[in-house]
Parts: sequence; structure tokens; C-alpha cells
Amino acid sequence: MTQSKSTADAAKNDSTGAITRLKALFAGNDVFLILIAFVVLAAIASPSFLTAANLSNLLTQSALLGILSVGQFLVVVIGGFDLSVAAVMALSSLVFAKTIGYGFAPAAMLAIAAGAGCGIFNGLVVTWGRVQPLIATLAMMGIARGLALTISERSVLVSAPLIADLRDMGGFLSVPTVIWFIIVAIAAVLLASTRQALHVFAIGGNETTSRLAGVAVEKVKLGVFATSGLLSGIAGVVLVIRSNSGVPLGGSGWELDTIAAIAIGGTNLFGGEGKLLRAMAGVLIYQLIANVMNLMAVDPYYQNIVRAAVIICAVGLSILRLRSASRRAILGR
Amino acid sequence: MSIMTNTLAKTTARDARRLLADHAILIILLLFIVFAAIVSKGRFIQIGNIAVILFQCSVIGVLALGQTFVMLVAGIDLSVTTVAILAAVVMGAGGSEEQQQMNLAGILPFLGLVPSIVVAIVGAALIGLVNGLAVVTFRIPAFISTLAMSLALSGLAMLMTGGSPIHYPNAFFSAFGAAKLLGLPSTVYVFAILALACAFFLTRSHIGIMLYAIGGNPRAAGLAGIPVRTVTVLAYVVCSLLGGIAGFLFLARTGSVAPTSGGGLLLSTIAAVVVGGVSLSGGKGTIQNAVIGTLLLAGLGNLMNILLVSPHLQDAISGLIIVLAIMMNVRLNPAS
Repeated sequence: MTQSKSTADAAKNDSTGAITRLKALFAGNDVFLILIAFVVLAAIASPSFLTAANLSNLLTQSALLGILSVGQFLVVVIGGFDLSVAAVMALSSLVFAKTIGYGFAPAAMLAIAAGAGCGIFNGLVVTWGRVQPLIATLAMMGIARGLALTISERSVLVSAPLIADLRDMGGFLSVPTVIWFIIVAIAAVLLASTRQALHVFAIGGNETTSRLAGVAVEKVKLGVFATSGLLSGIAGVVLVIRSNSGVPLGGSGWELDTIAAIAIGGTNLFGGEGKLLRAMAGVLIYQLIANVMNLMAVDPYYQNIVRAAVIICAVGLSILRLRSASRRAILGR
Repeated sequence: MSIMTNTLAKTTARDARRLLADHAILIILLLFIVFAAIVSKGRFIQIGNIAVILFQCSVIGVLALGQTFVMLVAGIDLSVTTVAILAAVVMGAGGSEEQQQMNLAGILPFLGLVPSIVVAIVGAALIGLVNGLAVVTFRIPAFISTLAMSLALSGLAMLMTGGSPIHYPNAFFSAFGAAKLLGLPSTVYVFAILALACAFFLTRSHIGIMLYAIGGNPRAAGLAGIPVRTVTVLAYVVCSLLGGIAGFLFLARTGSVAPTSGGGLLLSTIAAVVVGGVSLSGGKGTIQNAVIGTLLLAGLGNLMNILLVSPHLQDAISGLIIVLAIMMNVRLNPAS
């Protein structure tokens, strides 16, 4: 009797242990599991999904959004939003397309500098001007898009042979994909190893406390906005490589897509929390949904509605998760 | 004696500073009018031109009124312009038999003029209800939930017309837009009446004062017995309702609407409210200042039109001036 009871207890302990382990697995890697689940579902839904050509295409499509999302991730972690990422990318793509006559490298430098300049302006308005990031970057969105359209109302075709070469280069991994991966790798290493990265998370967690602890809040913020602008500048160059032209209306609406993507990737939209690689998995999930809807020829108008539902579910789930996490913290479990 | 004078001087200086801070945006508007009058060699302040400015800003103005309600409770409604466009699409396509024959791919049936207006306005209010409940019940940040709502609504507007623009709304709309009283178009009166009603509501009614209290400190407001959740939802409903009315004015003003119009409206709406000193963190701001912000931005656009600045450069300059105006407002109002 006693023996059987203890066996039952042991079994119970074992099963709760398994559940806890399973929970831990999900809590740590749920985004990656969701990504895998989506890949499986997509493969079932559309036979053309799991082809090398489509997967390569999916990665190339994700590259631009991915590069912008790295910058958005940093700004969101510090407790803000950058609504200017896509417009700055468009501006930078035009600067690049218009100046490529002077050579690839100088034009690319100029385009990236233009992006960084917009980022620094954002940073100064937020730190020195004390304007909320949402408003400061919303205004920058208008400024950058307006300047881009002033430079040219139509797309500017680039005829440099180097661009065509870059576009055709690479097999499964295209040049944009490789650039995206390199940026993510560098950012991940910096985030894991530098003091500044720690400060970014500290400020997002509690700005006042960070300031009292001696963190140079204004400088770090300025740096984060400048980095986001710089990455948008790089994305502008990549946009030209991918589409062979500078596009003044390129990426309209993407500022919100980047936020949705990193929210799917478990980034806390109130700042202070997030993992870069999971955010990038969020980008892939977001693009994958669009990709599958295209493969299944879903009406574009319905696609908008589906996207809205995805954003709400992703953000809703991440908030529920945060709430239960804070409850656990309060109860000391 | 000298001490008294000193104190008096100090008080006067403090009063002057306070006055400056309280009326910063009005002072900016007056300075701008003087500047615009000089730069345009007087054309800016001609009666005809001022009527044009008022006509142009009525839609954005009504949207800004609604946005003020939501911002007072520390929210934001990014879907309000899409609500306006959707309402205009429903009124335009559902209220005109002629238009109905053009929309072969649309799913919206012919409703008749009055029913289509009712459906559009009630629908707008219901959208606000959903927005408010999403924020209050599920605690999804307003910024995200209304953004998703905006995406979904633009998809819905596309479905209704099959993506095609509406060029033949019921003749009633353009007749309403063209009607004038004392030289001013009827849409301006609608805006003015709504602004007065909102200002009265916010300053004189219980619920108006509750809105300020909730924005200032939701927890304290809750402890003081204010039904925080209900009043917050109400702010979103009012905002969306005004969005529906703005859709009516949009259709009356332009005589046509496309499911994709209104892209630039959102930025202008939020800019108008924020330039007017309504705080994104809630609890601060008045209807008067939101209206002044709207007038300032509309005046700026008009001045640039007079000076023949290209439309895209106008966007860039507006963005820059919005930032500068907000920075000035923040500097003059250290408390905010």
C-alpha cells in the first residue's frame, strides 16, 4: 500500500518534473518552436513552400525587414519606438542611386551617412529636445519621406554593372541575406559582451534608476537612435542591390511591420527586455505568413486583415506572458 | 519699500513666465500669422484665403478633437483616420445607386443615403468600442491595438469597393460641402460646433473632468471612485465617432474618396494635437490648444502653397517645424 503510494508519488513527481521541463523549454524557445511549427504548416499548406528557390526568396525578402528590425529592436529595448526606419531607408536608397556615378564605395558611404545623420537628429530631438520618441520619429518619417520624394518622385533605375553582379551573386544565400546575417552576428556579439549593451537594457528597464546608478542615459539613447539610423542607411544600400533602383516609396508601412515582427519575437514593447535572435525569428515568422499567403494566392485585401490578426495575437500573447512572469516574480516563484 | 518692489517685480516676472507658458502655442500662432503675412506680402491674411484655410482644416480638426480625448487618458488612436476613410467609403458607395453600378467587385450593397450615413456613424462608434475594450480589458497597448485595427479597416475598405475609388457619391454630399453661410463653408461650422461642444464637455461635465483625472493618475482616479475602465472606453468611442463625422466631412469636401486616401492625414492629426501641447502621457491638454495646433499646421501648409513649395518638400518642412514647435512647447513648459 505504502509502496504503491510512493510509486504513485514518484510518478507524479516525475510527470510534474516533465511538465516543468517542457514549460521551461517553451518559455525559453517558444519563438523558435512556433517558427518550426509554421514551417511545417506552410509545407503542408503549399507544396511549393519547401523548395530551395522559395526558401532563398523568403530569406531575401526578410533581409531588409530584418536589418531594420535590428535597429527597431535596440530602440524598443531602450523604451522607445522608431517610426522613421523605413522612410530613412527609402531616403538612403535614393542618395545611393543618385550618387553611384561617383563610385560604389563613396556612394554607399554617403547613403549610410545620410541614414546615420537622420538617426542622430532623432536622438538629439529625443535627448536634448525632450520630445517623446514616438513623435520625434514620426516627424522624421515625414521629413525623410518628403526629402526622398523631393529627390525623385519615381524610382531611380541604377545601371551600374557592379549592382547587377551583386544581385546575381550568391546561391541559396543572396547578398542581402548575407549582409543581414553579418549585421545580426555583430549586433549579437556586441549585445552579449559590451557595457553599453547592458546600459541599453538597464535604461529600458528603469530610466531613473539607471541615471542614479551613473549610466550616461542621454549618450546611450543618442547612440541607439544613431545606430538605428545607420542600419536604415545600410538597408537603403541593400534595397538598391535587391531592386536595382532607389525607391522613394520603398518600405511604406514597414515601420509597423518591424515592431510587429520583434513583438512576435518576444521583445517587451515597454522596453528593457528582449533577445535579438528571437526577434529575428519573429521577422522570419512574419515574412513566412506573408509568403504563404502569397503562395496560396490570398486576396491582398484579406492579407491586411490576417496581418492585423497576427499582430494582435502576437502582442496579446507577449503581454499575457509578461503578466504571468511578473506575477511569478511577485509571488517569489 | 525696495523689498516690496523687488517682490512685486519677482511676482510679475513669474506671472509673465506663467502666462507665456500657458499661452505658448497661441503666441506661436500669432507670431506665425505675422510672419506669414509679411512673407506672402499680405495674401495670407486676405479673408478669402483664411476661409480656404478653415475649409481645408475642418477634417483634420475634427479628427484632432477625437484624438485629444484619447490622449487625455494616455492613449493614442492610430485607426481614427482609417475609420474616417471607411465611413466615407460606406457613405459614398452605400448611398449612391450610380456609384453602386461602378463597384462590380465590391461587397457593399446599396443602402440608401440616410441608412448608409447611419451605418457609417454607428459602425465608427462600434469600432471605437472595440478599440477601447482591447485597451482596457486585454491591456494591449493602444498604439499596437489601434494600429492593427487600422490595418484591418483598410483591408475592409478595400473589400467594400473592390479597391476602386468612389467618384460618384450621392449629390447630397457635394451640395453640403458647397453650401455657405456668411462666406464660410458649412464644414467649417460643423468643426466649430463640435469643437465648442467638446471644449464644453471636457471642462464642464463630470465625465470630462474624470478624463483628466484618469490621465493624470489612473490608480488615484480609481481609488477616488471614478469608473476608470468605462470612462476610458468612452474616450475611444468618442474619438471613433468623431472619426466617422470626419469621414462625412471628407466626402463633402472632396466629393470623392478612395480606400487608400488618408495616408498623410494621420501624421497631420497627431501633429496638430501634439503641437497644441496635448501630452502623450495623458492628463494634459485642452481643446482650445488642439484647435490652435490644427490652425497652425493648416496655415503652414497654406503658406507653403502660396510660396509654391513643392508638396513633397512641404512634408519635409512640416516635419521639421512640428519637431521645433514641440521642442519649444516642452522648453516653455518645464512641468510637462
